[in-house]
Parts: sequence; structure tokens; C-alpha cells
Amino acid sequence: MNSEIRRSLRQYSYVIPLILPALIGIAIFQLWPIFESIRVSFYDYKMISGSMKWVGWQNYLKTLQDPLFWQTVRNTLWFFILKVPVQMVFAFGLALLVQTTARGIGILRTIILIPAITSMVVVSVIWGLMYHPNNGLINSFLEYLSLPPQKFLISPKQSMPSIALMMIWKDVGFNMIFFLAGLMGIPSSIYEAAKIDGAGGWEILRYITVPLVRRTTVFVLITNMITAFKVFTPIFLMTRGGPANSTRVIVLYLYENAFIYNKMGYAAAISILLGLFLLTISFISTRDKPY
Amino acid sequence: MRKMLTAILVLTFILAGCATPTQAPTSPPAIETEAPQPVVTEAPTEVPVATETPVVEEEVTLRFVLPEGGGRPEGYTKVLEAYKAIKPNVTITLETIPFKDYGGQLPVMWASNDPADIALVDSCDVKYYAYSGALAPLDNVFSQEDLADIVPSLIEESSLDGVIYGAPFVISTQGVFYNTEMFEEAGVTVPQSVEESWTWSEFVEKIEKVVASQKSKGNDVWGLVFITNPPTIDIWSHLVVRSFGEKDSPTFKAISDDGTQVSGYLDTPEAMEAYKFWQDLYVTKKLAPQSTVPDAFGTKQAATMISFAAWGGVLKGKFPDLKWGVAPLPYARTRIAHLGEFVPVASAKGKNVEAAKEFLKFLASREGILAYNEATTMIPVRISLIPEIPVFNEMPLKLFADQMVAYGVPRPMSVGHPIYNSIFGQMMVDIAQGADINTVVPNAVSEIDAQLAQYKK
Amino acid sequence: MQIKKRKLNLLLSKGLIWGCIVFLVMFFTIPYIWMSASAFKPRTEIFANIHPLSWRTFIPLHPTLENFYTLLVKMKFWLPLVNSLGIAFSTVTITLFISSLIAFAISRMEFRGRGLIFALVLSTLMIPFEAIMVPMFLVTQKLGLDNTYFGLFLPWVADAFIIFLFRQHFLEIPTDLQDAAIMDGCSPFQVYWKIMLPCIKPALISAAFIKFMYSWDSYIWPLIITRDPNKMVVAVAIAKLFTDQDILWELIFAGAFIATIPIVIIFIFLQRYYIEGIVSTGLHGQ
Repeated sequence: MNSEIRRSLRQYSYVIPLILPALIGIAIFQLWPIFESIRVSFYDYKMISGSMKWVGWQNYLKTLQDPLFWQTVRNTLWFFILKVPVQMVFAFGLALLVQTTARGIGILRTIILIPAITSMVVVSVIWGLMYHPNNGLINSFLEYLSLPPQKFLISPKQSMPSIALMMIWKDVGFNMIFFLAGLMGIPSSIYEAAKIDGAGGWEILRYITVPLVRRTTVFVLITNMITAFKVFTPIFLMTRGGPANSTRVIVLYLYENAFIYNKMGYAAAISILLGLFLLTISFISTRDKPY
Repeated sequence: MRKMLTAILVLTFILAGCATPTQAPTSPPAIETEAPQPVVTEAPTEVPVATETPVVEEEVTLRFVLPEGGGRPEGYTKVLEAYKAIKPNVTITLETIPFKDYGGQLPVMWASNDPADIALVDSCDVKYYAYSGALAPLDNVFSQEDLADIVPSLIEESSLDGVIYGAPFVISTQGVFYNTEMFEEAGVTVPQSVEESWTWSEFVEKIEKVVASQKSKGNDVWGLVFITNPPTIDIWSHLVVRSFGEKDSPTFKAISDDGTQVSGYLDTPEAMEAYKFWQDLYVTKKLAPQSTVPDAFGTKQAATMISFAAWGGVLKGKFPDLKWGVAPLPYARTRIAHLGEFVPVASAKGKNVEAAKEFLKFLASREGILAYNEATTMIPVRISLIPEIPVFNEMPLKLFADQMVAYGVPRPMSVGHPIYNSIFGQMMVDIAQGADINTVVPNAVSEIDAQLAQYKK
Repeated sequence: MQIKKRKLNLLLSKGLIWGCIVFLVMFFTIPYIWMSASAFKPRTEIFANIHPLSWRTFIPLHPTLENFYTLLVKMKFWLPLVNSLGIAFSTVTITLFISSLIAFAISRMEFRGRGLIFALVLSTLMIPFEAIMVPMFLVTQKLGLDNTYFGLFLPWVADAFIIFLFRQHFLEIPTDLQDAAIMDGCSPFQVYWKIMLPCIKPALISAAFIKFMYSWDSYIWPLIITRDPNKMVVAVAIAKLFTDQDILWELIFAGAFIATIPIVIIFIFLQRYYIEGIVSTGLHGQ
């Protein structure tokens, strides 16, 4: 019986109309530009004049030998480490909190989501002022608690953690709603059965909830990793890579090469390397068992 | 089919453009040659003839992109009205782009097949875009008479290899805005003319006095702020660094003559002295904030602010209760003010290059500048015009005009100015935030040199 | 005794939870309280009372509607608001439909090239937008979509991220549900529409939220693709208030306020559907 069902689903006449609309969109607006990017990475390409000179693998070799590139890789990795684990645990906790139907929880859920729709420009202004080393809100608060004031964005040590905190604040709502969707997918009968078996809150969390949102967790982890490695806007708006290169991340370096240093081919090579790296990691972590 | 039609239309426009009587197509492209040029100032008188003649001129639409703000949209609207009166067949539409992303949008626009016909480009970037092939040469736009009237260094800044690409018409310089109440309370008098300007060390001494007098009243104020702090672009930070060099010394030039090398220019002993001064201002003396305090000057949280002339208009409109005055820029060894403003250019790939050039000719003429100044006050690049506009003969704008004539210079000239500005700007931010000068300067210098090598001939 | 202790415990844990909630609310709202207050302040006041921190920082001393008047009436800020809303709704609707279709095919149907297609889709996630911005613009221009509303949202409707999300959720659904439907004679499209789609309702709503936020906050793309003031979006309209000679803070805060509050109201309204969507999920309470 099963094999018959499979066979009927194997028919392309059914498959094609389902996949075509999205595939066309992706092919035209994503794959084609990516293909262009790959092509350009083998050239010395000047954007405005459109002049192209074939250089083979040179852009790639130069990237791998460029100490500045490796520093941006380290910085990006540091951003990822600072942001993603904290954000995920925080988001999961929030999802557990707001999945209850208590009164007022809906408001809290909305509040957590507001930062995500607030324009990055406005967020960076507000946080920039909050982080101000002399008269920022946070230092005022620390002063109130008689703690020493901090330098935040102007210190090479604190700049990246400061940006990571701001981005956790902005992005945690995103993650929360994925966890929420995952949690909602867990049949309540499982919880009831566990309760009947005498499982406590912690045990339910540890042995039921967490394993059952595994797929959501993988999804959130991968997308967080990808967005963390592609971080650009907040840094571009707040520190431009400074102080002392401490927040110069891969995409900022790529952007500088493309739009300031007039080295489009080099920028393309960096982006292809970044893409390959992310693709590899994602595939290793998504090889989940097929149903 | 539509493409064909457009192509035909474009062709007719180009032909129509060529047929206009204002220029001889055979004249040499290089502007700086001594060859006599047709007298351009007569163009407006010719135009009524053109409108009266039965020959129907083609309808031409030109697109003009410009950064939002600074009174520019308002000023250009006036110019367009004036132009419409003499050239009814030309319609020009203004498209504004947010200022902060303007520099990033231009290359993308010029990489496309459909760029706007006319654009504004920061004067220091004209060479870069010309080198990239984005700009149409403005041959025959300026007559010898025009060139003699316009501040010469601006023509040089807008040219590449002797060919003019930008049509400078108005500019801006910077000055010190100071809080008169704070200075009076501290008993500090402020120089009012360009010859009496303070040196940087005098300036620091005075603002320290003002800050101390405010502190004694329980007011914490900054001595000096810029619009963003620390400033990220050379137009501000080089007011200090270049000024530490003697006139025309490597430090003052701040880049080699061919615009491709900074070692020996940005790392001279005088420059290092300037960096030390800059760092002291922010780190040791704590006179300037290491991170932006918005509206610090307007809300009386700063004693002085270095800004553009137009800032006076903002203060009048937004902070009407504030009492302020202007003073000339301080200097160390050489007096300096930067000439900087957006310069109109024509796209090489534009569909109506000739019509665009003709408009630029009008824009840079006396009539164009006067029309622009009906809506917004900007210093004309034509020195002969300054006495004719009353506001430039009274304070505060007189000071800015005087500075332009007396010691205004363009920013360091290079095809790779965007690169230079980006790396140097970040270096100055790092210095202000306490980085080790002996590390960041050599690093930045070698980075700039490496990046500029692509423009070596 | 025992009961008392338990009561105390309950009280303590309740207190802890409420403490947490208060902290969370503060953490997420303080910047907004300040932003909202600033929207009603005259320019002279916005940055005047930041240090030392006091109630003046958060409450306008001379509340004014001038900023809103300037923004909405003189600068016609409502136009970008309407544009952004229209673009966001179009983006969300089309994205949900076509992404769930392909995700369904990839996760629930077997055909050759399935892995390859998923790999292709996923690979588009890996390249930063900044890297393909220029070719993407040139492609859109080639198709004649520049300066059109379509150019503003069509490039974004086939979203790998959303496809990936849906695939993960489709994979969670037990096969027997699908098998039963097929035995009842449903076509794949009917299986998708009647059986599978309702099962991933929470994911659909999440995706709608996400896509809406991305679209609402989009900035660089609209900036490149259209310079027509009639098609301007909110983020660009706000960005125009930053100029070289002045930053119009009072309008920026008012603009941010206007751009945020309607969405918050929409969200609060949609909350109900979120809960409903989850309750009516086929799996829940099986």
C-alpha cells in the first residue's frame, strides 16, 4: 500500500507546479546574482566602469593570505560566540514563559517582538546613547548602583560584547517565536501522559520538551549562525569596525572592498568563501533522519 | 520595440543637443588651454531667441539625483524654476536620496544602464568617479572668464588630467560656533576676523577656562564638539592635522602630488605632533566627547562646535533661545579651512548628456548661483559674486566667505579619496578613543598606501 | 506546617516569576519609553535631560504635537507608511503561499533532485546580501522592475529561510496523516491545502511575523530600486532626516514612533489568532 502512495507522489506532474513558483523566484533573484558573484570573483572587476580582467584564483589566494581578512574572521567568530548561545537560551526561556495563556502574557509577547520591527537606524541611535561612556543611560544606572562606569563601544575589549547585547535585545523575539511554534507543535497528550507518570517540571523540560523541539533548535541555531556570520548593519551604523579594528567583521570588510576600495572581485571572493563555509556547516548539522 | 523607439528618441535628443548654438563641437577638450573660448555668459540672451524661433525644440526630461538636506532640494528647485523660464522644453526632476547612504548609492547607480543624467558628487570624490568613467567631461562649459572668476583650487579638484568633470558653483567652509553666554561668563573674548584667529593651543586654553567657569557653577559642559564625535571624515580632523604643517609642506599637503602615497605625508613629525594634540583633546584633557552627544551645542552641553556655515540656520530655527557667535577656525602653523560641498556632474551613460551639460552651464553661471541663493545661502565659488549678495558681507556668513578667500583649500586630492578618507577617518577616531599613536598611524599609513597603489600610473 | 511551607514556596516562586517579568518588561521597554517621550518633545528638550538621569528624561516637559504635524502634514509621511504596509502585506501573502508549496514538496514528496533543490535553496541563505546587492539590482533592472512596486517585493517572496522553516515543520508531521488522505483519494495539492497546511499553522504565523518584520524594516533594497518619492518606504523616509548639516532628531523620533506603534497594535490584535492557530492545530490534544 505504502509503495503505491509513494509512487503516486513521485509523479513530476504533481511536483513541478508546487516547486516552480518559488524556484523561479530563487533562480532569478538569488541564484543568478550568486552566479554573477562567483564569476566576478575570478576577475579584477571595477564596478562603475564595468572593466573586467581575468585573474584566475588570485582573489582567493590573496584572501587566504590577507591577515586583515583573518582578523575579521576572528572578530565575526567572537560575535557569534557572544551572541548566539545566550540569545538561544534566552529565547527558549521566553518562549516557555509566554506560551502560557496567563492574562497579560500577550502584551509581554508583543513587547519582546517590538525591537524586531524597529528600524535598525533608530535602535542604533538609542543604544548608542545608552552606551555613551560619559552620560549614557547604562553608566547612569551603574553609577546608581555604585559600580564603575564602563567604556562600551569605545573600548576595543567591550565594543563587540556591547553590540552583541544590543543585537540579542533586537533579535531574541525572532528566535522566541520559532521556539513558540515548535513548542506548540508538541501534542499536549504527551505532557499529560508524563504528568500521570509523575514527572516533575524539570524532568518534563529535560526529557520531553527539549528533545521534541530538537528540529526547531537546529533550525534556530543554523539561522542564527548564518545571520551572525553575515552581521553588518549594526556595526556599520555604530562603530564602522573600530575601535582598533575590534568590530571589523567579514561582511564589513567585504563591503569596504567592494564599495570603498574598488575591489569588487576581491569582495566577491570573500563572500564566496563565507558562503561555502556556511553551507558546509549547515549541511553537516541538517543531515537529520528522513521520515 | 520599445527599446528601438527609445533609441530613436535618444538619438534625436543627442542630435538636438548638438545643434544648440552655444558651443563649437570642434573646440579642444582640455579646458586649461589658453585657446579662446566662446563667451558663455551670453547664453541666456541667446535663449529667448531659441524659444521664439519656429523650430520646435524637442521635449527633454532630465533626472537629477541629490542628497537630501542642507537646503539643497529647496535651492535646486529655485534653479530649476529659473531654468524652465529660459528653456521651457527641458523638464528636470529632482530625486533625493538619504544623505548618509548617498555615497554608497552613486556607484550602484552608475553601474546600471539607467543612471540619472545629473548628480551631485562630494567635491573630493569627483576625481574618483571621473577616473571610473562615470562622468561626462564638461568641455566648453566654462569660458576663460568663468575660470578666472572661480576659486582655482576648486577647478583643480573637479578635474582629472586637465579635463573638468564637475561644475563647482557653491561651497561651504567651517567655523567655530561658540556659546556667547558661556564665554562672557568666563571673561573670554573671541576673535572676530580671520587675521586674528587663535592657534589651537590658545583655543584649548580658552575653552578650558570656559569649561572650568561652567564647572564652578555646577555645569558639566564639553569644550568642543563636532556634528558627530569623534568626526569620522577628513574634512573635520584634517583641520587639525594639516594645520600643524607649514604651508605646502608634506604635512599640509597630506598626500603626495599624484595622490597615491601617504607615507612621508601623514607620518611626519609635525603630523605626529598633531595626533598627540588630537588625542590629548579627547583623552587627557577630556574636552571633547569620545562618543556623540547629539545636539550638545544646541542644548548648552558644549561651549563650542566646529561646523558648516549652514549650522547657523539650524541653530536659529531649532534652538531660538541659544545665544551664539562665530569665530574663525584655530590653526597651529598654517591657517586652513576646507572647501567642501557637493558639485554637480553629468553621467557619461546619461541619455541626454548634452542637455545635462547645458543645464550645468546655467547652474554654474551667475544667474544659477543667484537663483540658488534665493532659497538657501551658500557661498558662491565666483569671487566676483560675493560682494553682490548682502548676507556674505555681514556676520556670521562674512567670516565663512572671508575664510574661503583667505585660506580655503580642498581636501587632500586623490583619485582614491574615498579609500583615503575611510582609513584616515577611522584612524583619527581610534586616536581620539585612546589608541596607541605609534601603532595605529604606521598601520593606517601602510594600509592606505597599499590600497592606493591601484591608482599609480 | 507542611501546607504553610508549600504556600510560602508558591509565593516565592510567584514573586520570582513576577520579578523576572518586571525586569523583562523594563529591559524591552525603557528604550521605547524614551523614544516615545522624545517624539512629543520639542527639539530643545530631547537631549537636554539625559544626564543626570531623572523623570525628565522620560516625560516631556512641554509636550507638543508639532513633530507629528510637520511629519505627517508637511512631509507627507503617511505615504511611505501606506507603501510599506502594502509592500509588507504583499510580501507576506505571496511568501507564505509559494514557500509552503515548495517546502511541502521537498519534505513530503519523493522525487529525483529533491536534495539538490533543497541544497540550491539553502545555498542562497549563505551569501550576504551586501555581496550580491549589485548583481541583484542589475537583474531586477533587466526585468524592467526597477522603480515599480513589484521590484520592491517580488525579489523577496521566494525566501529560503522561510522554506527551510516550513520544511522543518512539515517533517514533524507523522506520515500516517498524509497516507490516510491519499488513500481517501486526495491529490497532492489537496493533501497540502487541506491536511498539511493546517498542521503547520504556528509556523505559518511565525513566518508571517518574521517576513512582515523584515519587509517593514527593509531599507537598502528600496533605496536602490526606486527613487520615486511616491514609492518611498518608511525606513528610507526616516533615513532622509539625517543630513550632513543637521540631524532632525525630533522628526526621527516622531517617525520611529509612528512606524512602530501601528505595528504594535496589529501585533496585539494578531496575538489572538496566534493562540487560536495553535489551539486548532490538528496535532494538539490528539
